[in-house]
Amino acid sequence: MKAGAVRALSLLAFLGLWEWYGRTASSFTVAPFSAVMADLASGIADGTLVRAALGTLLVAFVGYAIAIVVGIAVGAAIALWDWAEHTIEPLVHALYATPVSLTIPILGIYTGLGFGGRVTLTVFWCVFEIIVTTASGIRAVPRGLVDVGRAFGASRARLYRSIVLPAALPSIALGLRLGVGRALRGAVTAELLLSVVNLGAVMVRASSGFDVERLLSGIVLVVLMGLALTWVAERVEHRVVAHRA
Amino acid sequence: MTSKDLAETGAVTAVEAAVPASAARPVGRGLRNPWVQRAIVWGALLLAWEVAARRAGAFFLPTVGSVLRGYAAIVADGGVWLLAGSLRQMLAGFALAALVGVPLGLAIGTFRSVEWALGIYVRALLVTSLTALLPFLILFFGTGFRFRMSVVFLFAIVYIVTSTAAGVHAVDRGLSEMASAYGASTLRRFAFVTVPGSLPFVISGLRLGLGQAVQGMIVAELWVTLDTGRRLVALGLARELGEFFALASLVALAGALLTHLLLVAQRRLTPWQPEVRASVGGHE
Repeated sequence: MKAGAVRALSLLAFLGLWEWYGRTASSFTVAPFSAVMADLASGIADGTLVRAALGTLLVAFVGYAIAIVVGIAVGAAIALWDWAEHTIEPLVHALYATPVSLTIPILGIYTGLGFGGRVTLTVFWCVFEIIVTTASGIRAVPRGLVDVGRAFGASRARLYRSIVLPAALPSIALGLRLGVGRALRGAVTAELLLSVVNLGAVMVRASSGFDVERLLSGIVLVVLMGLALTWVAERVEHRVVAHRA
Repeated sequence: MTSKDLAETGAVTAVEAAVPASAARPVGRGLRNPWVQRAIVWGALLLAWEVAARRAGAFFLPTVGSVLRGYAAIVADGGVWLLAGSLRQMLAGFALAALVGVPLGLAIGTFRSVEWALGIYVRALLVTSLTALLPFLILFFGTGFRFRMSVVFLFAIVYIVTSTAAGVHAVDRGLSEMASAYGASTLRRFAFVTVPGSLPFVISGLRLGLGQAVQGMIVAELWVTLDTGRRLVALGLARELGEFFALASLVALAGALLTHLLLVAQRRLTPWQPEVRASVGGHE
């Protein structure tokens, strides 16, 4: 209860400060909180912000889905097959350490600047996280469990399905949870820096037209979407891990 | 922010650090030798690249040779100094993030009231696309040094704060209790138990933060088309792809090198770290 009280107080203080600063005459770059909320409500009511947010989410989800398939496949290959471990894993780590935004100026050459390009950037943004957590999860599967399974005569497929996968699941779930946030980040970045559409377009248009209220309501929306997606992913992760325990 | 969130970044750090686990394995012979495998696969990839580049033409994919000539071009046309200037600005923002982030992380990890009050903002930044803040930051700070510094600062500080706070949580409870049992004051305990105990996590956070800082630098420079970012965009538009790939790889290499320096510092400053990690792991 005390924690909740402190949190609420801190949030109130922040919003109060925002409101006060927004109302002072010198702060033309910050609109008061109340004005931003009013704008957010009207943007949602007339559908502009909803359409934009759905467009952004579509890019994020398609990219995320592709990244899951590719990430788990590559991660499993790295953990299970020494050729992949020795040759692909160093490349994965090199790419993981490379800032993805470096690809933005030339990505359009290969994918076009449309939906495909934005999805590709989103995949790059989150796939390496999933590869690394999948590989380390499968590597950490206790040898003893596999040996017991083998001793009881389980087939190879059965070993993977009933022992390796469940034991590696918590780590994979962690990667998938972190991946959701990164996918959204990738999609928003693509819409601002690759081709300006959806929420990116809302914010760029607002900032060039000096519509500070709309700009800030776009940012608030992005923050809320990030919090909501992570919350959902945490619920799912809890399910997965609890089911195992 | 709950301690679970803090543990999350700790987990990422651990995942990141636990990767080179295969080093102890005996080196095989022939096709089992990792370097033979690498020579085959990487050689094939390089060959496939070259063939694809020759077929697609310089307009789509640069040949290996043209990337190598790109490096020479970067040195000749001053691209190297452009990059050095960008990195210097990036390091200024990163230093500020470290100066603010480490004490903040220690405070969040040590005092629960601070965590309650500030954790929500750290968490919000952690899950938010910071790129979305660019249009706002530019209205607030203009397009100059302060803009780029603020972007790098925000990209870096999130990971520094969360990892440092996770480090405080990971400090061995027993050590803390022993220190107080022997009559150490709160301040002494903080200086001699909490700070050294969380140091490995602090440095891990700095490493993650530095990687993000480079990302922030590129994003900010692409947004306002200045310095290295501007050069990258220009090279892409002019389809000087050989030089583009050369410059992009230099940015990545510079980032990797700086991060590696922190890894070296980590080994130097916290030689006991494996023990810390083992004992922390042992409690789970």
